[in-house]
Amino acid sequence: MNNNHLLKSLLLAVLIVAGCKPELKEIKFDNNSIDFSKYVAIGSSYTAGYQNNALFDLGQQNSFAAILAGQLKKVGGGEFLQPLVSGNDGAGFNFFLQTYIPQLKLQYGTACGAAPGFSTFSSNVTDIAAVESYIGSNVPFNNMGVPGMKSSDLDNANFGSPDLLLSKNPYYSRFATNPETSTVLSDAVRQLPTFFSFWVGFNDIYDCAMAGSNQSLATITPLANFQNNINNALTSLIAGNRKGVVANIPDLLDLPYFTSIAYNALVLTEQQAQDLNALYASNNPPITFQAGNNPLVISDPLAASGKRQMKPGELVLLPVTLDSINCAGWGSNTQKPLGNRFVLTASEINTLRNTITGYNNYLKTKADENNLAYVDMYAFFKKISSGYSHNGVAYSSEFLKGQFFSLDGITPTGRGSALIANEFIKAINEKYQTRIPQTDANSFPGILFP
Amino acid sequence: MLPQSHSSAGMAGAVTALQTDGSVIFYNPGGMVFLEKSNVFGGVSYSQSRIAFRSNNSGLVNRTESKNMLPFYVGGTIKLSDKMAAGIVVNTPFGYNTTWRSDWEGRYIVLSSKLNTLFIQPTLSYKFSEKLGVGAGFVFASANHKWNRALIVADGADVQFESKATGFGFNAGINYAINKKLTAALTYRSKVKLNFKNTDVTFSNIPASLVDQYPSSTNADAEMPLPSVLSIGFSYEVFKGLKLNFETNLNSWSSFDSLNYEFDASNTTLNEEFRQSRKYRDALTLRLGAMYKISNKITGRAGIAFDQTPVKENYMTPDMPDGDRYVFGIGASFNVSKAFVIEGSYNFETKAEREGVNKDTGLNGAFNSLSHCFGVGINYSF
Repeated sequence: MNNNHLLKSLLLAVLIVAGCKPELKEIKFDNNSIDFSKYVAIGSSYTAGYQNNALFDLGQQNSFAAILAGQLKKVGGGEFLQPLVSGNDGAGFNFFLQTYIPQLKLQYGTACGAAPGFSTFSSNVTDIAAVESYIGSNVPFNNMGVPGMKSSDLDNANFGSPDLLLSKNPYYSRFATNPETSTVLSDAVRQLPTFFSFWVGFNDIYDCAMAGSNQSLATITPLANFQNNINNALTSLIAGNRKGVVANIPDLLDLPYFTSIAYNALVLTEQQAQDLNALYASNNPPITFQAGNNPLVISDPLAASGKRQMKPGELVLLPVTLDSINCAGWGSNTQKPLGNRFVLTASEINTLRNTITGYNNYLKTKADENNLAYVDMYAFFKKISSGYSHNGVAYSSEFLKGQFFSLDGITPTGRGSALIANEFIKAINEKYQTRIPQTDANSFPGILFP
Repeated sequence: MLPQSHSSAGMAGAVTALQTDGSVIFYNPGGMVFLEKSNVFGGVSYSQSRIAFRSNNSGLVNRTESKNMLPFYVGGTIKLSDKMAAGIVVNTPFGYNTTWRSDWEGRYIVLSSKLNTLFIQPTLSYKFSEKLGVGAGFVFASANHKWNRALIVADGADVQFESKATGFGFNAGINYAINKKLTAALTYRSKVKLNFKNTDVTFSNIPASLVDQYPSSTNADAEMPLPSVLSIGFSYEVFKGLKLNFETNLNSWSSFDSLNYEFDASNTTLNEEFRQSRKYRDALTLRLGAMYKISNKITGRAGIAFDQTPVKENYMTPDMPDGDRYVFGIGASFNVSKAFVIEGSYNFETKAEREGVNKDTGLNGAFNSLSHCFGVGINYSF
């Protein structure tokens, strides 16, 4: 072997390897012969893409159902028509007061001399026309998500009435194929879906929870009625051995609407505490304050003086806002105890949580009975609460910073919706032995910090 | 670890019990005194690594951009007397250079990361007998570390860390000729703790409401340990002209538990956010090399090594997602004259695809990488 030859061999080896790339096994995506060509989503706010207390275009584009449909397309899924609201103002709806509400926005600033912080405020544009204009046709939409829909609305023709006195909800009548005749269920079934997602029951419990369990505003759907409504709907949907996925209901302790303001969020100086102690001297049961954190004062008809301080474990609802506690005297001023609709007491929380357990047991039974995939959102929201890392981003149920929940503290951001869509995909993959790809949730919109 | 001479690289690093040239200062200070003459030497390599990541969630494959490094070494040994030799070497034993695409799935973990090290090692070696030599050197280390990643708070938000460090250590070895053909070597290179004091941390494109939380410029301290390496090696002359070297290295990486930044007092809330667990474990390397004197002028070399990774599968990070690697080396040296040698080598490292879910970041997928490194050097003896 001469010198030349050795050099040549060396050069050759370099050239061969220089072109090489590290190899990785390719993942083949596969529908395992499950037909995803016509996917129909049935559900409420989460399915519709309601965000920041409103329905608007960008929120709908980033609903979990739209994201799931996008992933299904990679394994044979078809077009996914959504009843899009025109523009990004949109409008929300307060179901217990039966009024339109504006979208929430985020601001940063100083309120009443306190340290600067974030607060939400109402947009000055409420685009009611966008929400009320009729866009229905003979071709129903794949996304049958209707914000605020309860299980009893599924097959109720009045739910599609343009008359709010009948429908109690503006969001279905705008795209019902035949208002006052068609129902969410009939419009879903007439599309002959090959695959469906079914996430119903949220508002059966949460309308009441969000109203502080104030029975004059909203009541819980009794378990027997819920079971009946769900059974009827699933019976129609699975006809012909259709495949689908059923999701259950998350716990209220995992939603920032119920957890972001602590029961003892009232922060006082020594002087402020003494002043309040004097004002509350005659209250029964006794109310006392000290420097530092103090339980908020609420009205309670069971208390002798009609007012008492909150107890650990009781919940303050997000619409109270920290600013109204810090700046306007809510929960401390003797004339401003927090009203019943803004707090949940221990027994109310118990009732709500027991009902969620009852709903979820039934949903699981029905999913198993009908050979449907079951996605345990109750468990997934618990995971979010305890901190959930996805591609380097730590998501949590912390309001704003956690990035999972939008400004209303109930519905998810685009990123939250994408993480939810991934959970649906995992459940479908497991049940039907499919390989649907998940999505990079970090690519979707999150909280928009000012 | 990057190879520190072409004679060693050609044998996949299996040179601890051989005394062929000046690089013995680094690989075994105890052997330096057995060099017949004084030497000056130096060399440079071109090293290129590519990493690929397949997300188990999306199924997408992301690849790093092709980045190069130019590891080099330069040094000299001098025979002070028959029993004593001194030497110094400047080299770059550790480093990496990784850049991912700006839209890759792990952009909130790492976008690019680069570590360069420079070691300066003055060394003395003493011959107790014709069979036994010992040596020890002091190691002065300096390092540059620069990395950045995206931040979730806004589109285009980014944080960059840039710092310099110094550290100290030592390198000692014993060389013992058991008989005319068989030589044993025992060496220990100590751990070097790099103190990244006053790392410049720069946050960019932060929304106005978050600039208190992520100030445009702040400082943080961090530490990164480089491992101690305990080596036991044997060389054997099979017949005149052919020498083999077999060795094992114990790399004590377990001292690398985490890369934590302690931010300035006003920004301690960031400490938790930028905590990175590493949880490295100690790892073994096995190396086998051969050198064969093809003619009076040419010596050929070849070697193979199995290098166990210190990285646990649930702690792989995209800056250096290690796996067990196989190293193949070939090389040759050419005696231009009795005193002047030109040498070259080529190294190829390959791994098996390795899958895991990082416990901190949730990044779920498989990494693979390969690298190759070639270069030339000279050794002049007098």
